[in-house]
Amino acid sequence: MEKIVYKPRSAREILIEMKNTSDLVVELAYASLLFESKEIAERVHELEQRMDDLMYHIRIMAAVAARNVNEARKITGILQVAGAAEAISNATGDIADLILRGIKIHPVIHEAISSADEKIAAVKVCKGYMLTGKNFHELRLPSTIGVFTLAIKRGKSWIVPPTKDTEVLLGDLLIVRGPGDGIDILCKMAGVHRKAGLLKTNLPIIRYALSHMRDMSSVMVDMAYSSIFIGSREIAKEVRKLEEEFDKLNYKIWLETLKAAKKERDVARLSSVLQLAKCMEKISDAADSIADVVLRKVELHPVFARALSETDEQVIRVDVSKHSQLVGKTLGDLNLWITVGAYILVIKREEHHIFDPGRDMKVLAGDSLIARGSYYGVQKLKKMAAG
Amino acid sequence: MAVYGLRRILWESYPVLVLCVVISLSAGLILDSQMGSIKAFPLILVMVPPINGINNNVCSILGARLASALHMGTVEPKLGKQKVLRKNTRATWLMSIGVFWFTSAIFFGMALITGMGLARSIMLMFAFFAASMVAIAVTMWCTVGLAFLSYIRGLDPDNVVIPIVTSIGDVMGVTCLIIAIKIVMGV
Repeated sequence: MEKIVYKPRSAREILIEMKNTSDLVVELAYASLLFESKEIAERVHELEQRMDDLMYHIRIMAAVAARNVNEARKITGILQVAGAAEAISNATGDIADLILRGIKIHPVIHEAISSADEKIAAVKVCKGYMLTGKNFHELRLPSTIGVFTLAIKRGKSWIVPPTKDTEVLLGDLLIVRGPGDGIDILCKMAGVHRKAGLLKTNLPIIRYALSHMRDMSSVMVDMAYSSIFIGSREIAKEVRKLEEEFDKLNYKIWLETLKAAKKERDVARLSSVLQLAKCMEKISDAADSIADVVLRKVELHPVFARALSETDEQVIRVDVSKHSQLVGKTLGDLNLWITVGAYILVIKREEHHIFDPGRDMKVLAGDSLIARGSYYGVQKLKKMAAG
Repeated sequence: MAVYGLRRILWESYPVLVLCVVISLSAGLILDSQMGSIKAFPLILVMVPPINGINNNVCSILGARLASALHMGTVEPKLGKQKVLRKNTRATWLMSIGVFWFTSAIFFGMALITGMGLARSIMLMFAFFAASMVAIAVTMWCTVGLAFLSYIRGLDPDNVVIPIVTSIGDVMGVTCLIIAIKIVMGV
């Protein structure tokens, strides 16, 4: 290991980068599976190594900063969250290894990733005026159509992740994630047609379970972060509950895969399903370990709130006022994910919580919405809720 | 090797301590140069330990707290609007006002008992208070600067910030005290 030079970066700054990187690397790992792209898998590995460095630096900072037992208790929470972010990136490294080692990917994995709520796509910029020559700050894709750009392939080089100053050029290949409708809009802007994948394999249970696990693990991670941001034990408890549910799904997948192995001609392909399930389980475990920080009854360090309000993707809690335009509408009508890029994780109504609310759920005055989205996205939501 | 071996402690602390000696010595020299005033007004000698002691302690506490805050990132190494930095400096300020008022009152009592007269005793009280306020303000901002520096360079705040801050505090305390007494009491 090379000697690491001291750089004055605070735990807050490192935590921000770790959360951004872990969010990014998960989606890139799925993208590498979906497109069976070695290049993307290599990017995943680079980010994973970066995370190891960051983990080392945050440990140094934590060790230097603690001055008394009470402070040290709070700082262990920071290390636990950082450790969880690193665990997530390690899990994605295993996914990338599947591709790098040339292990055959079962088609059910493609189908599962494409049928999850959160879609991943590669969009080639073929047409000028709508996208090209603008940087991501001007485009504001996350807060207008809910689409985050994970990476750009330009010629032979990669930009991971693009910053707000990165300009889109003609011929760029954008690797994006977001709601299907949002990606459709982006495709129109780029002047390409989005191909809808056909479901061909006859393993519907595995497909359903995998795509559900993919969505669930990302919601769990976001909920875990929001539980820390808001300091909510209820949300943390729900993460724990989801984690149990997740384990059941995981068991189901193993069972179904073993059953399928009897009929499968190429068993090697099926092992990729189990490998993916294992990685997603690690991600859900990491979410649980983030939530654990809240459940431990140690006061949360103020650095969390500051760091989580400066990440690329943020969680927020907004109170819906009487005069808000949201009141009386269902989440399906509002379609907030595509219009402002805000995904509603939890609705807090009086004393109870509605987790991962469905499209038919009506927003009422006095509700608190806990959502994730880009900075501008959550600001828009805040305005809408205030009325 | 032990984390804090004898050699390392000496090696890290020695240069700083030499610097501190030089700074603190100048505080002594300032006192020495004002021997006339001290002979005319020996109460100055009683006032030096409290003003230096309180000033140094209050600022050392601030320095230690800032070092932690910088590493955690609740304070950033830049001047300008920062909530946590402002809270810390304000707390230090309020704390020193509280302590120095009390100390000033004691000196007022002492002056009165030693037969200095009401008007002069009150003036003495204000002189001490004003001197301590100026001293603490300057030392506090030096502390903030040194804490930033130790964070940027990765130095141990216990070995660097606190010794230098206390030396600067000595000089500031003595200087402000003598100037204030000279102006107010005319000695």
